[in-house]
Amino acid sequence: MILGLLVSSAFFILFRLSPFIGLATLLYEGFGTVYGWYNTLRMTIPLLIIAVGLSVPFTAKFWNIGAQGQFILGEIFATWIGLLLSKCVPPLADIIIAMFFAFIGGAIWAIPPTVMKLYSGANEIITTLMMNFVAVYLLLWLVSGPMQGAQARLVGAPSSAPIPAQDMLPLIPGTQISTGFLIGLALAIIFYWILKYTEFGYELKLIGEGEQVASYSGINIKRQIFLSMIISGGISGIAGMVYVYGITSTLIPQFFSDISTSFGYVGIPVALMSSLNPIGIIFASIFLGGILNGAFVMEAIYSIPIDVVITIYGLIMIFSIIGIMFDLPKLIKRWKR
Amino acid sequence: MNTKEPIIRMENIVKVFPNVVANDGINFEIYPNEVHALLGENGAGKTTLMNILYGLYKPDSGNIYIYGKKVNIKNPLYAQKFGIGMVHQHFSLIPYFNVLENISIGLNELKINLNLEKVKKKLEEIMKKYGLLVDPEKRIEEMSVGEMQRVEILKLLFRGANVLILDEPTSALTPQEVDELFRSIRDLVKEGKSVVIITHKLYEVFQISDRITVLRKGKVTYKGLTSETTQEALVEAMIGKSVSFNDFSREQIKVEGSLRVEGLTLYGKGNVPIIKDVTFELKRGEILGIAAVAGNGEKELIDIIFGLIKQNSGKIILDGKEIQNKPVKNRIEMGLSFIPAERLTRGVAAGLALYYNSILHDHWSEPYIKHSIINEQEMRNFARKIIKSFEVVAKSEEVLAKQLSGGNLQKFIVGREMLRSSKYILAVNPTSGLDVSATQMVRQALVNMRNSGVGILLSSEDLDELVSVSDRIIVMYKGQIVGSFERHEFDKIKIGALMLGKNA
Amino acid sequence: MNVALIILIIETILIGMIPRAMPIFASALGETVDQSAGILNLGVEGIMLMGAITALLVDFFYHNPVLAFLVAGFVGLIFGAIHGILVISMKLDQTVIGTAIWFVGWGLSGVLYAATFGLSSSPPTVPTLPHIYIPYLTNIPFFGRFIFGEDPLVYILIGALIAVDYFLNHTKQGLNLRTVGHDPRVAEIMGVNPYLYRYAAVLFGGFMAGIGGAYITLGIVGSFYFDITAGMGFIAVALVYFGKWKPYRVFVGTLIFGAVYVFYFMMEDLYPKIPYEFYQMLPYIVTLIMILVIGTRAKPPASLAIPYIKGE
Repeated sequence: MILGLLVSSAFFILFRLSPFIGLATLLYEGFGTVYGWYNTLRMTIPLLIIAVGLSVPFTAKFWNIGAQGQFILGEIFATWIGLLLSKCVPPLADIIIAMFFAFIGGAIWAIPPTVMKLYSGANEIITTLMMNFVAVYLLLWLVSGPMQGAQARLVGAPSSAPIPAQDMLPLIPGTQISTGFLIGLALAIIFYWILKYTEFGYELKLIGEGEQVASYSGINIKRQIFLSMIISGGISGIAGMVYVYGITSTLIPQFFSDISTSFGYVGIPVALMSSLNPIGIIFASIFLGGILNGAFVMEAIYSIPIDVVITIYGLIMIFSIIGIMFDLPKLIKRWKR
Repeated sequence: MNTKEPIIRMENIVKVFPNVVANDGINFEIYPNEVHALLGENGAGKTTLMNILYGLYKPDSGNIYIYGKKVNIKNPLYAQKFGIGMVHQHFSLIPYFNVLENISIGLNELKINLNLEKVKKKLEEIMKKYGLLVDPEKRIEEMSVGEMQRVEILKLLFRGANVLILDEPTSALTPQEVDELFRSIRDLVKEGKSVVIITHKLYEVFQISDRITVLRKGKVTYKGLTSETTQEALVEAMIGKSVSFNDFSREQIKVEGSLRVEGLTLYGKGNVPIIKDVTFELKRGEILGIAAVAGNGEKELIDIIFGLIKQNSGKIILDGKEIQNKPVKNRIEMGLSFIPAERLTRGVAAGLALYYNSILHDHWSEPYIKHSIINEQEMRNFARKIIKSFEVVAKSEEVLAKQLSGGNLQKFIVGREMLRSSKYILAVNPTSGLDVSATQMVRQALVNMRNSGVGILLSSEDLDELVSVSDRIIVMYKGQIVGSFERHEFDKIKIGALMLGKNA
Repeated sequence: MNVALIILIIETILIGMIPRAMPIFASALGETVDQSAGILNLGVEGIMLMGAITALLVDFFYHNPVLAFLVAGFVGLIFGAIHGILVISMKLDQTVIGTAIWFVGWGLSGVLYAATFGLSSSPPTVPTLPHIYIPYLTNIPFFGRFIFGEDPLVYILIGALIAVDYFLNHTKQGLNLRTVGHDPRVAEIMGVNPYLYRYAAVLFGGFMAGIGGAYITLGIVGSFYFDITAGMGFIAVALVYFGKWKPYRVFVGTLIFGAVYVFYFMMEDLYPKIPYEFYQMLPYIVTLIMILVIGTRAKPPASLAIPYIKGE
């Protein structure tokens, strides 16, 4: 992981910036100041929640790459129901209902690829990814069409009406951190426990070990995979709700090329680098969130594109999977064979 | 005869694997026009030695001489150049390809163009010369084991092999197929070839070989001509001490209940029946053997009974209740256990610890799980119990399943399925990969289970095993039951004939 | 709608689909060889992006499209080699590594672009490949432009298609490669080095993905923007399944995609009332439908995505 960072710091040379200073700035902006920490946690919240969701099907070696689409559907459902109900129900009820609908939205988006995999063996990586693209354009259409806010329409901006301030997730008292962070922490702890100590977690691990041993053990593979994808999609949806209700307050389009909002993709290295352990995911998401935030600042200061981050993530993924799978001597032995 | 010069001489071969010395200073010679039997228990180092000769493993020390010249066999390509060919126990064939394509893989005679007509012409000559016949256009996946073996041997002859190494060639054959194979081997020797047979079956050695080398724990314990040795001497060399092959003591106790299969039918691709109208009854307190050549529906039959495959029609009745549409989990709860053939992919979750693997069939029931929450301590206790009672060599219950050797893994699986409480056990090749004493232990355990009132459905490639432990044997051929024998009627020749679809 | 209009539509689709299909086709052809040897390369998308940016850079500064394609192919080759080291020698999970390679290519292509042209300036342009117009033949109505009016790379790629198909099905080396994909253990026993063939396959796959990416910038768009591939790499992987590992079938699949792209550009003009976002969804939905249709009937090489570890 450290190696990944070091290798990627070499990119700063391209921008006539010494790798050391580049790396230091990146980390300083992410973790060096109180303000930096606030922004970092703002990035962390959706990452944390999405990665916790991903760890569930990943445990069964079902590779859900579709968190981005599920996240977007969560945003859409939550915003839609929130705007519809905002004047009829008290804020707390509004938040809970929005969260529920976000879960449903994300889950719905997870169903087609799952069913395709379970009943016709279609590669889930490709299908979940295709669903992401469809979601991106669906969102774009909604915010520049049916769901466009009145004010946004006047200036021709693709954006929904804002969620009323009283319906937004409150901040943790005394800080500028959204309570969405607490939701993320709670989910991480709950799923740490579920994966480690319940029958469901045990069965997912067995499915991850292979279909043969799982069906031999009397596990209903289809049901459990389906369930894990509903959970994963739903939680990604909740991340979308938390993002809108805690950070942006409006529904805005997310282009596939825009890495700064591609939490669904960034969640993948977060989940993998922590070996699918939800407690580890807390730290990993803060770390990668910090890098993301630092990169934002660097884009503004040095015109280094935010894309540098996704490269770093890729490298971190490679180096951390090497680290997870074996220690060095064993690696060398494997090589020799 | 001893004045003959060996073609190949292996001298002082040493090969060490992480946990075991597989070959410990072995000397081995192959003479022209001879069948040389390499005899030993599983794990004695026979296959390792031959893999070294074939260039698949590099020896840690020792030399190989061919016609007195020292050679370095870096890979199978070199071995082929020196005229050495090997048929592995698991065939080296691509099921999806036909015979010609399989023969052409890596073939030196072809430069770039894949000229199958040329290959076919030469193959037909070879088939004629040695009397080994197969259909060159037939795909491997449509073949019987005997046919596949012929393809393997043809493949070696095609490449001009002078020395043929056959690793446990009879393990999946019926007695009749074995006879045919042995006839071919004799023809090959007559045509000037040398053959090495790796085996652990004593009687085969006397049937076919001219010369014998016995290995035990990586060392040569006997070496000599077949005509000058006795069975006792070989047993002594193989095992060290003599193990009694006594009949197991059987007691009959009365337990109600049976596992009945009625008119079970399964269709495969293109509506070809894999299992056709199979009906039988397994009573509790009885061992029912299924004798079949691999690929005659016996594997599918057991998978259907356990619920892993869905039948097209027919009933499975367990203690009076129909279970043919119930999921696996229900069947396990109703008293089924299963020792599968595929131990690493099916029998355990290879990447998880042994204690995780100890409750595969109980992972929803107390005491291991209470209200859906795992009790790790109980899992560990049970794993330790299996390790202790079945003499599994493992440091602790935290070892990953894939770190166990094949034999130990088998013992662990057998132990797990036998120690959990069940009424019926489905067992497929339960002793494969076990040494003589462990085999004896497992067979004894099977009979003990039977004596305590468990019904056992035993499918085994080893006809000797079936005959020694079963109360009844049914024979399957092409998905149908073609014969049934009570214990006092057991006759290996008759059973073997039925397995081949011949009327005895 | 009258007959003349329908003919015009079909002709437009025919003419337009070939170039549109080429980036996906080049990558899918490489992926076919990859998968035939048992390697699932999910990083194609990232490699295509790298090919796209390097081709643009080279052509922009040296004005030499041939060199640009070669350099793009070479960069793809390097990425293929890295992928190979990770999944063949180090035996890492092909799914995870493929995703990581995608990320690296995705980010790096953006970084390279921004490092050269800055973030805010308007995108640079390069001329797209010239088409070859053969006198008379090109003027044949209906089929003329379609068959005889493409750019040179189209003909080269079709040559590559014929060559790859011949290689896989009619040469010994092709048989060896497919053996490695089915069962590397058997290959080794038969004296075929599985590592060698797998490396050759990933290098070829990487090279072709680089070319495919380069074709987007040099053959179609004439420029580059962030994430210009927009999922084409993954569509290419999906098409290999659709084509059942047979090059000609894969080619037909990519043509269908070329047609889909042209179709949506056309329909956008003909029926502007339907929001254009729906047209843009079309390729992805078509991919999903294609995957659904082929389903389990596709039988991949038996050792696809399984690393070969000697002696296990």
